[in-house]
Amino acid sequence: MSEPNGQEPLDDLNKRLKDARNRKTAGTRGKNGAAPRSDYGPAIRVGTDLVAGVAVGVVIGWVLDRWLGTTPWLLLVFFLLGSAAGITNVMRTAMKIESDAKADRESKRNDVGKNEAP
Amino acid sequence: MASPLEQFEIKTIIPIEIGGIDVSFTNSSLMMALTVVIGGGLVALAASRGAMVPGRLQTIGEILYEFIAGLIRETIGPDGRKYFPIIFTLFMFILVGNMLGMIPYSFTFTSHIIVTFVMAFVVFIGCTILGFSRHGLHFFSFFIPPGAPVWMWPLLIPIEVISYLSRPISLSVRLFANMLAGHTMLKVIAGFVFALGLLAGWLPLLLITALTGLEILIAFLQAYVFAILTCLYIKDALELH
Repeated sequence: MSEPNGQEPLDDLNKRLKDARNRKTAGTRGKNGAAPRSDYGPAIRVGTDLVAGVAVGVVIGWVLDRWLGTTPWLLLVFFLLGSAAGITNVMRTAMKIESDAKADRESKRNDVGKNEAP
Repeated sequence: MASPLEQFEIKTIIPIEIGGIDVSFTNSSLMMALTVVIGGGLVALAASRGAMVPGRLQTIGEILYEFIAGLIRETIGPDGRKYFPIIFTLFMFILVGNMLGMIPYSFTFTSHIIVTFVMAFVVFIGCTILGFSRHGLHFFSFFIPPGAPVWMWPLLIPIEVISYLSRPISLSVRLFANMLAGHTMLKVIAGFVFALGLLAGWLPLLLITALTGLEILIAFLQAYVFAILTCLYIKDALELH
Protein backbone atom coordinates (compact mmCIF):
# COMPACT_ATOMS: atom_id res chain seq x y z
CA MET A 1 0.00 0.00 0.00
CA SER A 2 2.75 2.43 0.92
CA GLU A 3 4.90 1.52 -2.07
CA PRO A 4 3.11 3.49 -4.81
CA ASN A 5 3.07 6.51 -2.53
CA GLY A 6 6.80 6.26 -2.04
CA GLN A 7 7.49 5.65 -5.72
CA GLU A 8 5.45 8.49 -7.15
CA PRO A 9 7.48 11.48 -5.97
CA LEU A 10 10.66 9.71 -7.12
CA ASP A 11 9.21 9.14 -10.58
CA ASP A 12 8.19 12.73 -10.71
CA LEU A 13 11.64 13.84 -9.65
CA ASN A 14 13.23 11.61 -12.27
CA LYS A 15 11.01 13.11 -14.93
CA ARG A 16 11.85 16.63 -13.88
CA LEU A 17 15.57 15.84 -13.80
CA LYS A 18 15.35 14.43 -17.30
CA ASP A 19 13.53 17.52 -18.50
CA ALA A 20 16.17 19.77 -16.98
CA ARG A 21 18.96 17.76 -18.61
CA ASN A 22 17.25 17.87 -21.98
CA ARG A 23 16.83 21.59 -21.67
CA LYS A 24 20.53 21.96 -20.96
CA THR A 25 21.65 20.04 -24.02
CA ALA A 26 18.94 20.29 -26.65
CA GLY A 27 18.70 24.06 -26.77
CA THR A 28 14.96 24.44 -26.61
CA ARG A 29 13.54 27.86 -26.03
CA GLY A 30 13.57 28.44 -22.28
CA LYS A 31 11.62 31.17 -20.62
CA ASN A 32 14.70 32.68 -19.06
CA GLY A 33 16.24 33.80 -22.32
CA ALA A 34 13.14 35.62 -23.46
CA ALA A 35 13.64 39.26 -24.30
CA PRO A 36 11.61 42.01 -22.73
CA ARG A 37 9.09 42.88 -25.40
CA SER A 38 9.54 46.30 -26.87
CA ASP A 39 9.43 47.68 -30.41
CA TYR A 40 11.90 50.41 -29.58
CA GLY A 41 14.88 48.02 -29.49
CA PRO A 42 14.44 46.56 -32.99
CA ALA A 43 13.85 50.04 -34.43
CA ILE A 44 17.14 51.36 -33.07
CA ARG A 45 18.88 48.14 -34.11
CA VAL A 46 17.75 48.43 -37.72
CA GLY A 47 18.63 52.14 -37.85
CA THR A 48 22.20 51.71 -36.63
CA ASP A 49 22.68 48.70 -38.92
CA LEU A 50 21.87 50.84 -41.96
CA VAL A 51 24.00 53.80 -40.90
CA ALA A 52 26.97 51.61 -39.95
CA GLY A 53 27.06 49.98 -43.39
CA VAL A 54 27.04 53.34 -45.19
CA ALA A 55 29.61 54.80 -42.77
CA VAL A 56 32.07 51.93 -43.25
CA GLY A 57 31.68 52.16 -47.04
CA VAL A 58 32.29 55.90 -47.07
CA VAL A 59 35.34 55.65 -44.81
CA ILE A 60 36.91 52.89 -46.95
CA GLY A 61 36.24 54.88 -50.13
CA TRP A 62 37.62 58.09 -48.66
CA VAL A 63 40.80 56.47 -47.37
CA LEU A 64 41.43 54.61 -50.65
CA ASP A 65 40.84 57.84 -52.60
CA ARG A 66 43.40 59.74 -50.53
CA TRP A 67 45.87 56.90 -50.85
CA LEU A 68 45.49 56.30 -54.59
CA GLY A 69 44.63 59.89 -55.56
CA THR A 70 41.45 58.90 -57.37
CA THR A 71 39.13 61.43 -55.67
CA PRO A 72 36.10 61.19 -55.86
CA TRP A 73 35.54 57.95 -57.77
CA LEU A 74 36.25 55.27 -55.16
CA LEU A 75 34.28 57.27 -52.59
CA LEU A 76 31.25 57.11 -54.88
CA VAL A 77 31.70 53.39 -55.58
CA PHE A 78 32.16 52.52 -51.91
CA PHE A 79 29.29 54.76 -50.88
CA LEU A 80 27.03 52.65 -53.10
CA LEU A 81 28.57 49.39 -51.87
CA GLY A 82 28.22 50.59 -48.29
CA SER A 83 24.57 51.46 -48.85
CA ALA A 84 24.02 47.98 -50.24
CA ALA A 85 25.80 46.51 -47.20
CA GLY A 86 23.63 48.62 -44.89
CA ILE A 87 20.48 47.44 -46.59
CA THR A 88 21.75 43.84 -46.41
CA ASN A 89 22.28 44.35 -42.66
CA VAL A 90 18.75 45.70 -42.27
CA MET A 91 17.22 42.82 -44.23
CA ARG A 92 19.09 40.24 -42.15
CA THR A 93 18.11 41.90 -38.87
CA ALA A 94 14.50 42.24 -39.96
CA MET A 95 14.35 38.61 -41.06
CA LYS A 96 15.90 37.53 -37.75
CA ILE A 97 13.41 39.58 -35.72
CA GLU A 98 10.54 38.20 -37.80
CA SER A 99 11.60 34.56 -37.40
CA ASP A 100 12.15 35.12 -33.65
CA ALA A 101 8.68 36.59 -33.31
CA LYS A 102 7.20 33.64 -35.21
CA ALA A 103 9.00 31.08 -33.02
CA ASP A 104 7.88 33.04 -29.96
CA ARG A 105 4.24 32.98 -31.03
CA GLU A 106 4.41 29.25 -31.73
CA SER A 107 6.02 28.41 -28.39
CA LYS A 108 3.41 30.54 -26.67
CA ARG A 109 0.63 28.66 -28.45
CA ASN A 110 2.17 25.35 -27.40
CA ASP A 111 2.28 26.07 -23.70
CA VAL A 112 -0.92 28.00 -23.18
CA GLY A 113 -2.18 27.47 -19.66
CA LYS A 114 1.06 26.69 -17.91
CA ASN A 115 2.06 30.29 -17.45
CA GLU A 116 5.02 30.84 -15.23
CA ALA A 117 6.35 34.04 -13.77
CA PRO A 118 9.31 35.29 -15.83
CA MET B 1 21.59 77.14 -16.75
CA ALA B 2 23.97 74.19 -16.98
CA SER B 3 24.47 72.67 -20.41
CA PRO B 4 22.75 69.30 -20.89
CA LEU B 5 26.06 67.98 -22.21
CA GLU B 6 28.02 68.88 -19.10
CA GLN B 7 27.26 65.48 -17.59
CA PHE B 8 29.45 63.76 -20.20
CA GLU B 9 32.54 65.79 -19.38
CA ILE B 10 35.63 63.78 -18.40
CA LYS B 11 37.19 65.16 -15.23
CA THR B 12 40.65 64.15 -14.11
CA ILE B 13 40.79 62.92 -10.53
CA ILE B 14 44.41 61.71 -10.28
CA PRO B 15 46.66 63.00 -13.08
CA ILE B 16 49.02 60.30 -14.38
CA GLU B 17 51.29 60.58 -17.41
CA ILE B 18 53.40 57.73 -18.76
CA GLY B 19 55.76 58.45 -21.63
CA GLY B 20 53.83 61.53 -22.77
CA ILE B 21 50.53 59.66 -22.84
CA ASP B 22 47.77 60.91 -20.56
CA VAL B 23 46.53 57.90 -18.58
CA SER B 24 44.94 59.89 -15.74
CA PHE B 25 42.45 58.32 -13.40
CA THR B 26 39.23 60.12 -14.38
CA ASN B 27 35.61 60.10 -13.27
CA SER B 28 35.07 57.61 -16.11
CA SER B 29 37.75 55.31 -14.71
CA LEU B 30 36.25 55.70 -11.24
CA MET B 31 32.82 54.62 -12.47
CA MET B 32 34.29 51.67 -14.35
CA ALA B 33 36.21 50.59 -11.24
CA LEU B 34 33.03 50.95 -9.18
CA THR B 35 31.14 48.90 -11.78
CA VAL B 36 33.68 46.10 -11.58
CA VAL B 37 33.60 46.15 -7.77
CA ILE B 38 29.79 46.27 -7.53
CA GLY B 39 29.11 43.85 -10.38
CA GLY B 40 31.81 41.40 -9.30
CA GLY B 41 30.89 41.77 -5.62
CA LEU B 42 27.23 41.14 -6.34
CA VAL B 43 27.93 37.91 -8.20
CA ALA B 44 30.61 36.78 -5.71
CA LEU B 45 28.35 37.42 -2.73
CA ALA B 46 25.41 35.77 -4.46
CA ALA B 47 27.49 32.67 -5.15
CA SER B 48 29.25 32.52 -1.78
CA ARG B 49 26.57 30.72 0.23
CA GLY B 50 25.19 28.30 -2.34
CA ALA B 51 22.13 27.56 -0.23
CA MET B 52 19.56 24.98 -1.35
CA VAL B 53 16.82 27.51 -0.72
CA PRO B 54 18.28 30.74 -2.10
CA GLY B 55 18.07 34.00 -0.22
CA ARG B 56 17.36 37.33 -1.84
CA LEU B 57 20.89 38.00 -3.08
CA GLN B 58 21.39 34.46 -4.31
CA THR B 59 18.11 34.67 -6.22
CA ILE B 60 19.35 37.79 -8.03
CA GLY B 61 22.56 35.98 -8.92
CA GLU B 62 20.66 32.93 -10.13
CA ILE B 63 18.29 35.04 -12.24
CA LEU B 64 21.24 36.82 -13.89
CA TYR B 65 23.04 33.53 -14.51
CA GLU B 66 19.94 31.79 -15.87
CA PHE B 67 19.14 34.79 -18.08
CA ILE B 68 22.49 34.73 -19.87
CA ALA B 69 22.73 30.92 -19.85
CA GLY B 70 19.28 30.77 -21.47
CA LEU B 71 20.25 33.40 -24.00
CA ILE B 72 23.36 31.46 -25.01
CA ARG B 73 21.45 28.16 -25.15
CA GLU B 74 18.92 29.73 -27.48
CA THR B 75 21.20 31.60 -29.84
CA ILE B 76 24.40 29.52 -29.99
CA GLY B 77 23.12 26.15 -28.76
CA PRO B 78 24.88 23.69 -26.43
CA ASP B 79 28.30 24.59 -27.93
CA GLY B 80 27.93 28.05 -26.53
CA ARG B 81 28.56 27.18 -22.89
CA LYS B 82 32.28 27.79 -23.40
CA TYR B 83 31.62 31.43 -24.18
CA PHE B 84 29.50 32.06 -21.10
CA PRO B 85 32.25 33.91 -19.13
CA ILE B 86 32.93 36.58 -21.76
CA ILE B 87 29.25 37.17 -22.55
CA PHE B 88 28.25 37.29 -18.88
CA THR B 89 31.11 39.68 -18.09
CA LEU B 90 30.18 42.03 -20.94
CA PHE B 91 26.52 41.92 -19.94
CA MET B 92 27.22 42.62 -16.27
CA PHE B 93 29.71 45.39 -17.04
CA ILE B 94 27.30 47.23 -19.34
CA LEU B 95 24.25 46.58 -17.16
CA VAL B 96 25.83 47.75 -13.90
CA GLY B 97 27.52 50.67 -15.67
CA ASN B 98 24.22 51.79 -17.22
CA MET B 99 22.38 51.43 -13.93
CA LEU B 100 25.03 53.37 -11.98
CA GLY B 101 24.73 56.04 -14.64
CA MET B 102 21.03 56.40 -13.80
CA ILE B 103 21.92 57.69 -10.32
CA PRO B 104 21.72 61.51 -10.33
CA TYR B 105 25.12 63.30 -10.40
CA SER B 106 26.93 60.12 -11.43
CA PHE B 107 28.67 59.52 -14.75
CA THR B 108 27.62 57.11 -17.51
CA PHE B 109 30.75 55.70 -19.09
CA THR B 110 28.75 53.86 -21.76
CA SER B 111 27.83 57.29 -23.19
CA HIS B 112 31.38 57.57 -24.52
CA ILE B 113 31.95 55.98 -27.93
CA ILE B 114 35.52 54.96 -27.15
CA VAL B 115 34.36 52.76 -24.25
CA THR B 116 31.65 51.01 -26.25
CA PHE B 117 33.86 50.80 -29.34
CA VAL B 118 36.65 49.03 -27.47
CA MET B 119 34.17 46.44 -26.17
CA ALA B 120 32.65 45.96 -29.64
CA PHE B 121 36.10 45.77 -31.23
CA VAL B 122 37.22 43.09 -28.77
CA VAL B 123 34.12 41.06 -29.68
CA PHE B 124 34.75 41.61 -33.39
CA ILE B 125 38.44 40.62 -33.27
CA GLY B 126 37.64 37.67 -30.99
CA CYS B 127 34.96 36.36 -33.34
CA THR B 128 37.24 36.75 -36.37
CA ILE B 129 40.05 34.84 -34.64
CA LEU B 130 37.54 32.21 -33.55
CA GLY B 131 36.29 31.85 -37.11
CA PHE B 132 39.80 31.44 -38.54
CA SER B 133 40.88 28.98 -35.85
CA ARG B 134 37.76 26.89 -36.39
CA HIS B 135 37.64 26.90 -40.17
CA GLY B 136 41.06 28.07 -41.35
CA LEU B 137 41.00 29.73 -44.75
CA HIS B 138 37.58 28.25 -45.32
CA PHE B 139 36.34 31.13 -43.13
CA PHE B 140 36.48 33.35 -46.24
CA SER B 141 33.50 31.45 -47.64
CA PHE B 142 31.54 33.43 -45.04
CA PHE B 143 31.74 36.37 -47.44
CA ILE B 144 30.15 34.46 -50.31
CA PRO B 145 26.36 34.42 -50.03
CA PRO B 146 25.10 30.86 -50.48
CA GLY B 147 23.50 30.14 -53.83
CA ALA B 148 24.81 33.25 -55.59
CA PRO B 149 26.06 32.79 -59.19
CA VAL B 150 29.82 33.20 -59.69
CA TRP B 151 29.53 36.29 -61.93
CA MET B 152 27.84 38.13 -59.07
CA TRP B 153 30.74 37.50 -56.66
CA PRO B 154 32.80 40.63 -57.57
CA LEU B 155 29.81 42.71 -56.49
CA LEU B 156 28.59 40.63 -53.57
CA ILE B 157 31.89 39.96 -51.82
CA PRO B 158 32.71 43.67 -51.23
CA ILE B 159 29.17 44.17 -49.93
CA GLU B 160 29.52 41.23 -47.55
CA VAL B 161 32.94 42.40 -46.37
CA ILE B 162 31.63 45.91 -45.68
CA SER B 163 28.64 44.41 -43.92
CA TYR B 164 31.01 42.36 -41.76
CA LEU B 165 33.22 45.37 -41.00
CA SER B 166 30.18 47.43 -40.04
CA ARG B 167 29.41 45.08 -37.14
CA PRO B 168 31.63 46.66 -34.49
CA ILE B 169 30.45 50.11 -35.63
CA SER B 170 26.76 49.34 -35.27
CA LEU B 171 27.33 47.40 -32.05
CA SER B 172 29.17 50.29 -30.38
CA VAL B 173 27.17 53.16 -31.87
CA ARG B 174 23.90 51.59 -30.75
CA LEU B 175 24.85 51.45 -27.08
CA PHE B 176 26.63 54.80 -27.09
CA ALA B 177 23.87 56.67 -28.98
CA ASN B 178 21.13 55.26 -26.77
CA MET B 179 22.83 56.31 -23.57
CA LEU B 180 23.95 59.69 -24.92
CA ALA B 181 20.53 60.57 -26.36
CA GLY B 182 18.59 59.34 -23.34
CA HIS B 183 20.66 61.17 -20.76
CA THR B 184 20.76 64.39 -22.81
CA MET B 185 16.99 64.27 -23.23
CA LEU B 186 16.53 63.85 -19.47
CA LYS B 187 18.69 66.91 -18.77
CA VAL B 188 16.99 69.04 -21.45
CA ILE B 189 13.55 68.28 -20.06
CA ALA B 190 14.82 68.84 -16.52
CA GLY B 191 15.88 72.31 -17.71
CA PHE B 192 12.28 73.03 -18.74
CA VAL B 193 11.11 72.40 -15.19
CA PHE B 194 13.03 75.47 -14.00
CA ALA B 195 12.38 77.52 -17.13
CA LEU B 196 8.60 77.15 -16.85
CA GLY B 197 8.62 77.65 -13.09
CA LEU B 198 5.72 77.01 -10.75
CA LEU B 199 3.08 77.77 -13.39
CA ALA B 200 3.69 74.93 -15.86
CA GLY B 201 6.88 73.35 -14.56
CA TRP B 202 5.04 70.34 -13.17
CA LEU B 203 4.29 69.14 -16.72
CA PRO B 204 7.91 68.44 -17.70
CA LEU B 205 8.43 67.12 -14.17
CA LEU B 206 5.76 64.47 -14.81
CA LEU B 207 7.32 63.69 -18.17
CA ILE B 208 10.79 63.32 -16.67
CA THR B 209 9.46 60.87 -14.09
CA ALA B 210 8.04 58.67 -16.83
CA LEU B 211 11.17 59.04 -18.96
CA THR B 212 13.40 57.99 -16.07
CA GLY B 213 11.47 54.71 -15.98
CA LEU B 214 11.94 54.34 -19.72
CA GLU B 215 15.66 55.09 -19.38
CA ILE B 216 16.04 52.31 -16.81
CA LEU B 217 14.36 49.93 -19.27
CA ILE B 218 16.70 51.09 -22.05
CA ALA B 219 19.72 50.71 -19.76
CA PHE B 220 18.77 47.06 -19.31
CA LEU B 221 17.69 46.53 -22.92
CA GLN B 222 20.96 47.82 -24.35
CA ALA B 223 23.01 45.51 -22.13
CA TYR B 224 20.78 42.67 -23.33
CA VAL B 225 21.12 43.65 -27.00
CA PHE B 226 24.91 43.82 -26.68
CA ALA B 227 24.94 40.34 -25.16
CA ILE B 228 22.59 38.81 -27.74
CA LEU B 229 24.52 40.30 -30.67
CA THR B 230 27.79 38.99 -29.22
CA CYS B 231 26.12 35.55 -29.12
CA LEU B 232 25.00 35.91 -32.75
CA TYR B 233 28.48 36.91 -33.92
CA ILE B 234 30.04 33.95 -32.09
CA LYS B 235 27.46 31.69 -33.68
CA ASP B 236 28.28 33.07 -37.14
CA ALA B 237 31.98 32.45 -36.52
CA LEU B 238 31.28 28.88 -35.39
CA GLU B 239 28.82 27.91 -38.10
CA LEU B 240 29.48 30.23 -41.06
CA HIS B 241 25.94 31.15 -42.21
